Amino acid sequence: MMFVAAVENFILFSMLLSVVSFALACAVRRVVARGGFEPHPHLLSRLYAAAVVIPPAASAWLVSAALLPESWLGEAAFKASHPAPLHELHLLGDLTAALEPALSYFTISFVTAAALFAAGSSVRGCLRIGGVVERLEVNALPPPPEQLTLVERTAARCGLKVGLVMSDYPFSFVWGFYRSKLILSSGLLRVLTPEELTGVLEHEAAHHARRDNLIKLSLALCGYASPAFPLSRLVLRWRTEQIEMVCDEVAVAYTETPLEIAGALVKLRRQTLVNSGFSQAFSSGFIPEDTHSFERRVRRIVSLADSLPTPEEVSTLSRLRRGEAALVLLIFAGTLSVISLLSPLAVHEAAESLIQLIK
Amino acid sequence: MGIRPKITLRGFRTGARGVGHVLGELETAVMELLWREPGQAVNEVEEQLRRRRDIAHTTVLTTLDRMHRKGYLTRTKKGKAFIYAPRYTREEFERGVAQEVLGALLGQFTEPAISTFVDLVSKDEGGLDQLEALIREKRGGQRRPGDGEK
Repeated sequence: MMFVAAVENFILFSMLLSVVSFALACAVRRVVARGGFEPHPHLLSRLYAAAVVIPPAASAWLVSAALLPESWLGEAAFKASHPAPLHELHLLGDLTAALEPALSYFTISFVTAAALFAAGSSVRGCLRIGGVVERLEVNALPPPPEQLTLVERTAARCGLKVGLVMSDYPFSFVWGFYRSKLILSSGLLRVLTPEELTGVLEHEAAHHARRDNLIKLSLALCGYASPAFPLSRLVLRWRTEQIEMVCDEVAVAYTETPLEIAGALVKLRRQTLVNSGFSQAFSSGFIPEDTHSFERRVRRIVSLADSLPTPEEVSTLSRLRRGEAALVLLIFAGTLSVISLLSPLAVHEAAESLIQLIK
Repeated sequence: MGIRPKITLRGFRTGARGVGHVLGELETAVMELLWREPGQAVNEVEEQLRRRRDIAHTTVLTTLDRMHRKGYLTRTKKGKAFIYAPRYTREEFERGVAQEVLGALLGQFTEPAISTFVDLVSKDEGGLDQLEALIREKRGGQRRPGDGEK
């Protein structure tokens, strides 16, 4: 029953914290949109990442710190120092005692099924991308050889594998988590000028160097740890907007052609516009609903023309920062160990007080 | 531009190319014929198809009617016969297929696996004219004296 109680409590706390985090993220976004303050996109992306990571991490910490003392102290010592009925350890169970144990089993079954579905769909979707890319191939006009040379040169320098799709529809994306592959269409190479293409390639190379897809996957998994995952997905979408701006800045620093990059954005946006009749087909919601975000992004790139960032300035933005993940893990384990040693029941009692407050 | 057909993602044919992924073999042949020579009656389409395969008149009739209902073809009455023509050019059609395929696929749980420079499919124009003007203006401001004479 300890495991069931742990999962149940984790779900309760992660849901509560997810809602609070989402509210805070919303507030920040609103203040930024109104021009209250203008943080760097990198800082904003980290705030949004924190809003997704903190709820499950803090819940896991809280549940571990609250429920581990029984194993740590031993049942007899735990009961002696923590008299009934509080020693039952069912923090959430206090709220739903009448519905137990059916509610516990239902909750665990539901969350397991949802997590499996999300994970299975993600894997299936990732595997399908290659097949779909092949299906986009038509008898398109070949791209200019000089553009191909440019792509090969940039890809070799950045250590990117490249896949060229013969399609007149202009698109490019970085696909994969660690050993990413850059997928480009022949239409993109024909539409863009060499300067614009260089900007796009540097932008995509920045995604690869930063391992953005791997981080996105990790954050998405954190988001799915809570029943409030639709809120997390929205926050992750806001984060993605900021990441695009960060990669734009890196591309500007390496190419010194902000106006060409902004021009490429506008040109491709126009090329990929969906006819109104088609738009009903896209009910999936992957297209950002905030239509001003694109405008903000272009205006920001244009504004970089006034003070070009240097490669040295963006060096911290253009690589994966493994140290931060290690630091988070260290804080998690360190504080958990310290609290378990110094005051094993403090968190348990605090969590129960919180539950009493909710009751 | 009028309302474009929604191209279903079901029934993909592995190994086919381009529009063959969303249209059947016969529908693809019909589209190819009409793209090459738009404005044909049922009998004319049938005659051309018969050069390559044996096909019943009713099959051609129902295929053309179905493609019209799906929105792939337009038709006008000329005397007692319908004259069929593609509603979209080949480029427009292939573009629609690409948007449907990318949009429907990426809308699922594949977001973490992909990073894009610009949305693969854009729903809103987002003030493109103003942004283009802004970029032009900035370029003009950055141009050095004498650049315009080149």
